[in-house]
Amino acid sequence: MEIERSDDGATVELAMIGELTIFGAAETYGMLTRVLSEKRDLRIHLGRVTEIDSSGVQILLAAKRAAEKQGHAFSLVAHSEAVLEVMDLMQLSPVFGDPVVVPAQAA
Amino acid sequence: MNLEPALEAFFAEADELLTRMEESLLGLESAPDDSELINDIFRAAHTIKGTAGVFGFDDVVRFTHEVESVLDRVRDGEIAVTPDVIGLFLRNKDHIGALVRAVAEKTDIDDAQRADGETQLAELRVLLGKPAAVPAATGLVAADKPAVGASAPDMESGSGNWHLSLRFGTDVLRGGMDPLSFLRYLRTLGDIVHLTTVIEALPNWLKLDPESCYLGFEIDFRSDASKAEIEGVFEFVRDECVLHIVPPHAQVSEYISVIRALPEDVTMLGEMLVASGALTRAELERGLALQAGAASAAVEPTAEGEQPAAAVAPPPLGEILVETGAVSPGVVDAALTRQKQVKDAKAQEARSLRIDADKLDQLIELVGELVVASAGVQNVAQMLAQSQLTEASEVLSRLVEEVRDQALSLRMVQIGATFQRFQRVVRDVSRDLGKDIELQISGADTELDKTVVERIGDPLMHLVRNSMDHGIEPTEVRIAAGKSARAKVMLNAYHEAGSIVIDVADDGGGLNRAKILRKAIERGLVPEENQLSDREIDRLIFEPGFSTADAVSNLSGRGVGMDVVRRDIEALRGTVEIDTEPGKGTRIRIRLPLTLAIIDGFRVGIDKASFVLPVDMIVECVELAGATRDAARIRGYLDMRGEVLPLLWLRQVFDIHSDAPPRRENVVVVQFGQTKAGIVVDHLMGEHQTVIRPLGKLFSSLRGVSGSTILGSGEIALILDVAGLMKMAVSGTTVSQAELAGSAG
Repeated sequence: MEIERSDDGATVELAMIGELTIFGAAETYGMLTRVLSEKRDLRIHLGRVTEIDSSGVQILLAAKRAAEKQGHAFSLVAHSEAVLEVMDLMQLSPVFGDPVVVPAQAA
Repeated sequence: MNLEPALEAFFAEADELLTRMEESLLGLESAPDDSELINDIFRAAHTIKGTAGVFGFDDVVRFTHEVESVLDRVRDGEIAVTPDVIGLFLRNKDHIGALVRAVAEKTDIDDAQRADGETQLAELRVLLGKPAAVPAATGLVAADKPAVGASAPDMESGSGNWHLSLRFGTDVLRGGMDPLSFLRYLRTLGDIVHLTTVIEALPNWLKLDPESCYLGFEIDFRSDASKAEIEGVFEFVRDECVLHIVPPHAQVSEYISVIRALPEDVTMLGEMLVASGALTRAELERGLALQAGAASAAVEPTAEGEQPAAAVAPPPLGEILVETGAVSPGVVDAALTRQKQVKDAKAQEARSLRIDADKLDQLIELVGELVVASAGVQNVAQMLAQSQLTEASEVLSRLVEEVRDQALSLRMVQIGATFQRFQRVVRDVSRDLGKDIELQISGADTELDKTVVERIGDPLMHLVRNSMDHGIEPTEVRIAAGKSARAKVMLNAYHEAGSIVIDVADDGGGLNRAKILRKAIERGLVPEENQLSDREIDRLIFEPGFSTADAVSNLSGRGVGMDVVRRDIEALRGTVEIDTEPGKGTRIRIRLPLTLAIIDGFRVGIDKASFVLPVDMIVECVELAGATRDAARIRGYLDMRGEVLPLLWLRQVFDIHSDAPPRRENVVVVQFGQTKAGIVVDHLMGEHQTVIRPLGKLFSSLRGVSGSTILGSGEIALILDVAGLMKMAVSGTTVSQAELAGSAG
């Protein structure tokens, strides 16, 4: 689990890399806690997430709630296939409300 | 694992259910409010769907599901039972039959059938108030909109789905289990129609423990799996999560019907529910634990306050189970009723057993051998004339006779099922013809050999269609003739003198003899100058190549004529008679032997040759001697107490010459139908159980003989064809003469 941080002045973008699972949950939680404390708009880049489990989903949901409670935007972008599969399974896309690019493989 | 036997059972069951469905539908026509009939139909459709689902016959399931949905509405009184609806259901039933048959024969239904099925589906959907065209695609869901409607194209009501309510314990993730993996596993058992992830338990950020699980799911699940199977998915987290499985609406009625059908050795409520699949073993154990807990809690105050023990009886298990939501009240009720029934009527229940027809045939064959062998023993015993042996052989042969009767009765089935099929035929055909025809059935409980029943279907079908098409006049003609507008076709069966008689009668116009004769002359079936009796004219319709239909309709005149009917029936060693009265109607009477395998025979002899007559056809035997004999010789008949009895000398029939003519002769008086005749033989040798063996093809044209049998001594005897012989007796021909006449005509 690795997190790359970039900042374009308006929004902080965190790129999650690798597994977003129970094994790195504590670490991810710590990182997100720091970023949330800055009270900025957040964008989470999921393009390089290779695996995500319930704990990862939970953290993203809680973080979204926390950010929005502070009055800041929270968005997920560039969902990887692993993320899409889980979102679809848990039918969570409406909950996150982010536009999702469905890979154009099957028509 | 070999599924074939299970499949066979499914096909047989489906067949029966469809027949029952049809009967009930036809019954519904005259009693549209009969809820029992509607329930019957629903149950039939439902069971077929359920079983087809187990085997994965998706086409059957998909179609039957829609039928069932409409039936459900009918049952709830939301859709009225109109003739149109019944008509649609009847077509549905046919289509289901076609689908099942296609599966059984491992083929596909043809395009016409497929198109017909789609039309029916559209009509069903109209009844359900759904758009007739439903997108066929399933499952392709765009991720940015709620997936509810689109993923469940044909199960939108949810009542056909399981509902799973699931809350995971906080330590599930730490225990190394991911709730998502259970969902993935669940998907292997069926389709998740709809899922809501419950995140209400998720605390705010600072209180969040990233390694705890806060999730829950509410799942609509479509599956043919049993409750226990579904519960099994969550086996590893069973103790750490709260799981409620609510069965589909339809499943509840299934549980109820399963409970009703439970074997009698299950008498405990909990066991009943588990056996039906309504309750899983784990749920039962929790329920019992609760009951035990309640009981012990109730015991304590008793000990202290010395209250009567009866007041603190533990709550019944059923109540506990309903309260914890493990089963629905309806299911418990059904189980309780069944519990009572079982207690009440444990002894009286009728049981039946499904047996492979081949096994039965083998048994009959063996019994046949046994009969021959026992006749042999009896023969030897008679020869040795040793009293002990004679006695033993008598006992043996009586037992063998009983075994034979029992074995044969296993093959006996009621003709009712065959008759019932014609309700539908009459209904459909009368509509096609624009005639108002009703079918009256009597003697439906008459039993006859299964082989005969199977083979009589086609000839009967032809006769019934023929009656409706040619026999019954158009409604206007009937009214003009002063008859009731509604015509009748009657099917009747009864036993008579060792044979079974099946009548196909109508109250139509009768045969038009002038027309028949004209046609017959036209086709060169009879020479023009011939004078024929009415009966002979009537029988012409059974001649090959004869058809009176002016216009070939799609009912008759399809190349299968009455001659085929006659041939089919004669192949069963039966006969056809026709009885018609112009303006009143026609009755065709089919007479068939009760069984095709073994008969009680009566042995007669000419010189050294033995012949066997079926005992059932024999009325009496009289001696022919002295002056009577001489007179009979000259006249060819016998004066039997004032009645004329035509005689047939078997010796002449079979051209048996002997140097020393017998000093004494006997007459065996036989009756077939209404006709009696006397067969003159040399000796009477008594009763003899006879296993019928067909004659080879070479002898198939032989008249007067229907088969052969092996006697106890190992000799062969011919079995006489009484019906054939009597024809000869009446017309006064012999085999050779008849043969000549046959080849000439």
